[in-house]
Amino acid sequence: MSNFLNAVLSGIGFGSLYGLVALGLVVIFKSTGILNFSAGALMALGGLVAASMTGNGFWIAAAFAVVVVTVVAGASNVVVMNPLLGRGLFPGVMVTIGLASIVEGISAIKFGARALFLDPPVQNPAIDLPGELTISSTLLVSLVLALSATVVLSIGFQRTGVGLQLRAAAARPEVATMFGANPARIFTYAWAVAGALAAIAGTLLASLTVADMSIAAFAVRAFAAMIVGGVDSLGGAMAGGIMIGVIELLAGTYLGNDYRIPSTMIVLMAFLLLRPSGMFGTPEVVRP
Amino acid sequence: MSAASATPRVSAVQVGWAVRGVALVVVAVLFIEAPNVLSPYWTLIATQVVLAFAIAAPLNMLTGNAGQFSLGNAAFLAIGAYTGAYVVLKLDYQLPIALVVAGVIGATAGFVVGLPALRLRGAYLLMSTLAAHYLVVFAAQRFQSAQFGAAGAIFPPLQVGGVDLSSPRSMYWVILAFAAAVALVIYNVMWSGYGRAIEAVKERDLAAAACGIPVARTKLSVWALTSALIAMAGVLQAYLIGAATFEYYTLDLAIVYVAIIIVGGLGSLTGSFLGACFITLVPVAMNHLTEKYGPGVGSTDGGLLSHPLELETIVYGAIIIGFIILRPEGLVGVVRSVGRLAGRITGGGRRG
Repeated sequence: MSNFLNAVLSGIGFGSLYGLVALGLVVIFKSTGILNFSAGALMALGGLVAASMTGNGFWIAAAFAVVVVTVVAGASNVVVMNPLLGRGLFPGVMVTIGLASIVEGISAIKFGARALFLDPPVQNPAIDLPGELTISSTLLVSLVLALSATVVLSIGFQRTGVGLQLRAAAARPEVATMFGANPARIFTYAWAVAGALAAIAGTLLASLTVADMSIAAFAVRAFAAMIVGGVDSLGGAMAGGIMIGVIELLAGTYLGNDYRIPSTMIVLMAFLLLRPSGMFGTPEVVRP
Repeated sequence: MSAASATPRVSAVQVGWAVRGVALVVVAVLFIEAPNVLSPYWTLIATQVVLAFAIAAPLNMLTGNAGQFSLGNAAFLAIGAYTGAYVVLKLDYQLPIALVVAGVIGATAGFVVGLPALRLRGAYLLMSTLAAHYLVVFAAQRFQSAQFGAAGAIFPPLQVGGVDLSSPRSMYWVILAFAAAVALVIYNVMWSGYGRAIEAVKERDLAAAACGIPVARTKLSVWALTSALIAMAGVLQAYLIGAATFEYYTLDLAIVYVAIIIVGGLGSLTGSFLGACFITLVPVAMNHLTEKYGPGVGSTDGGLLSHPLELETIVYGAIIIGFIILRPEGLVGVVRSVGRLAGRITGGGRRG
């Protein structure tokens, strides 16, 4: 029983990190209709930047990583994504794949091929709970940060001018332009936000595991989280992330580590076939 | 219309076909004779180019002609490789049987992976091919450890009917013959009514259905046909590498073939070939560059060229982005516009 509950607790923690990245995917997909395959590379870049300055403590290193990746993501939108506006899914996705390749290559040159390590955000690594339960303090920090990010983003989308412009530009770019919104600039904000979220997730994953390019592999869970939650729902992305995290860790505990990715992919496939709009998405979001 | 004005036009067409026929023969002779001229090293690279074409061309038909964006091609290569390994190593049959079985299994798998395509479009379809990729690679991993052990399925030297075909030159010819067959199949399909139905489904599947095209059957048969061809190429790829190991079939491998069709040109057989040349030659060119100007493997100073692998990753990404933004019609578009320009300069450009 304690095995089961420990797996669920860790699953919620890891899942909140997938949810963080999925939030960024949703923000970009909602606004530009593109799946961002560079999310993994941006996570790894965040983890590596933070780990390279681990001497300053976790929080300063993490803040620096967030700034760097935000700038990289925003600049990427200006340089390579904006020229593609309106060209559709295939060119957009392939450009994000090319972007991932470039970010990966530059990080490998800058930070070397060895894995780096990053101190945890809180000194004592594990917190004991009653009934033989433990949870890593880093995962607890992850969950708190992820939930706050979801709330802040939701408010930002619904209650701020930029959020309104973003929703308008996503729904009807031409009409939004007539009312003074600048889609190119709005989409840059969307990319910057996605970059910041990826950097936070990447930094926390770096302190949980090691900081190297392997962090990028976590992004595929974020894609699953995005679909499971519903591609146009922020809260759904977080809920989807947590669901994917719990399923993954349960599969890892009871079936073996080999089953972690396949179990999440089966859930993804089931949702795609039975309920493509996910748990919280609106059904008519299919972009033909 | 008088006979005097009709006669020269007919002969011009005849001349055109004659020129094409001669060009085809010349190209065929060049391809067949290549390994007799090239060194073993360049023969191997030529083999890789031809194999990359044989994998990219069906993918180009699926993505470029039928509009189904798929990242599942590494999974189909794995299906082919492991089917081939089972037929050759466990059932003790030879390459032709292995190709047929891989084709059948590949078509079945393609049919299943294509099923979500009836309901899903765009991003959702892409996600389902992504899920299919991971599930197939996982199945390959289980199959490998159950049947062949941790080192993977080691293929014997290629032999068909007692004839040894394992030399680099024979491997080239075997793969060239397969690639030519793939090109012939795709060329004929795309110039048939069925090919036009495929294009129609890509443009507007509702309108295609209204015109009496069976959309579901068209989509599923494209998935089955292209997956069968990719799986068959997977057998030859495993023979060329000498083994099938599940670690080889990564998402990055799948992306390589998508990059090939983007660089070459979507929906074009010539494009698939040009892209296969270009993307296969990038690492070769980088190797030569590093060997010539780099400071040597393992050295830490000496600028960018002391990181050949990382530099290759960056160049590869830049090529994908550059082509999509600056040359969306790919190399085949560049060739066509050069041809048009040449035609205009010589004044013989009938088509402008």
